[in-house]
Amino acid sequence: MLTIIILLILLLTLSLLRILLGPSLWDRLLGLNMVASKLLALIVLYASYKGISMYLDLAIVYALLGFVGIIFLSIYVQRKGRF
Amino acid sequence: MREIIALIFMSGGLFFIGFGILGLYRFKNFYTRILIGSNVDTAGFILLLAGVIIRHGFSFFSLKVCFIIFLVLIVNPLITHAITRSAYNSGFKIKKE
Amino acid sequence: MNNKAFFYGQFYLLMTLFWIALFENVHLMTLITGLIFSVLVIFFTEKYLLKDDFYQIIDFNAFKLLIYFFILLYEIYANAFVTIHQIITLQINPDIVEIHTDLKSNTQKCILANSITLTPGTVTIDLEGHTLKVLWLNAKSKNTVIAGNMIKGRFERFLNR
Repeated sequence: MLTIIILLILLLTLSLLRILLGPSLWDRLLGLNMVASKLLALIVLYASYKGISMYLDLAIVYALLGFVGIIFLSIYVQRKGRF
Repeated sequence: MREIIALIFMSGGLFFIGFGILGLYRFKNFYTRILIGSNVDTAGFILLLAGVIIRHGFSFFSLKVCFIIFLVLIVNPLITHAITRSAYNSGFKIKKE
Repeated sequence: MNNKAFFYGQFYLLMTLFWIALFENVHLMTLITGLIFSVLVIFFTEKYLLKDDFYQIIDFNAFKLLIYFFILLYEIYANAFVTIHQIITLQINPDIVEIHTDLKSNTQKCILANSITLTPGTVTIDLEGHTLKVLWLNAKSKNTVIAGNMIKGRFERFLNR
């Protein structure tokens, strides 16, 4: 169980690198999406490892807030900054 | 016994997520990257959370994880669609590899 | 009338289930407050936010949706292995194809577009009337009928039933 959490953190770091060196703006948004989905899985795995179900509420709120954030960022980019 | 089956499911999820990241660095163009990245990632995510459900059996913990799976299934295609549509409407051209 | 009661009963039961999952017990008090709050939430959403009935806008059947979920799961994993093979061998041909759909209501078209986006290898870009614009990783054909049959075959056959 602990091995899987450590491997997932490693993969998260690898996908974080795409935000730093993505050539275009949408590559960075894609990297943000992948980091958010892996962080969500990490919260659920940590809650299962510790056995505390209160962390799952955090996971639900994080999923909804990440959705709203990425949607508004992509609309903001599409309209070239005029919102 | 249940722990071992759960570990097998979680390893399968890590397999899919690893291939998604490999595709993220192997392709050169944005449109191929978004086709690979977010969708193979979702397949791995469902398998990973199915492992958590099997590990905890029939309880309230599993019910909450079920709701998280349905939430991700509804939300994730919307995000992918929004990013792709933003790039397409801004005039990003498709290039051959 | 019976149809309408069944429709709203599904919503109330689903929201009460969510309420129980958040509270983590099944006392009588939790059930009663859950039912009261789900009725209030749907009433205020229709009155102030939507200004119309849910019954007029969407068609929603929980059992059909559950069967559809398993079909979707099968399609996701069958396409994921094909996509992994394409990642390793790099034999790809990305292109945009336009496909035609026969579905009538807006709910069915929305579910179809989101399912196409969720399967690895295809992403929906646009939906105008009955035409879907799809970005495909390995475009084998640009013909509307052949490409449409390969992309949305199983989904549309179930949704049309």
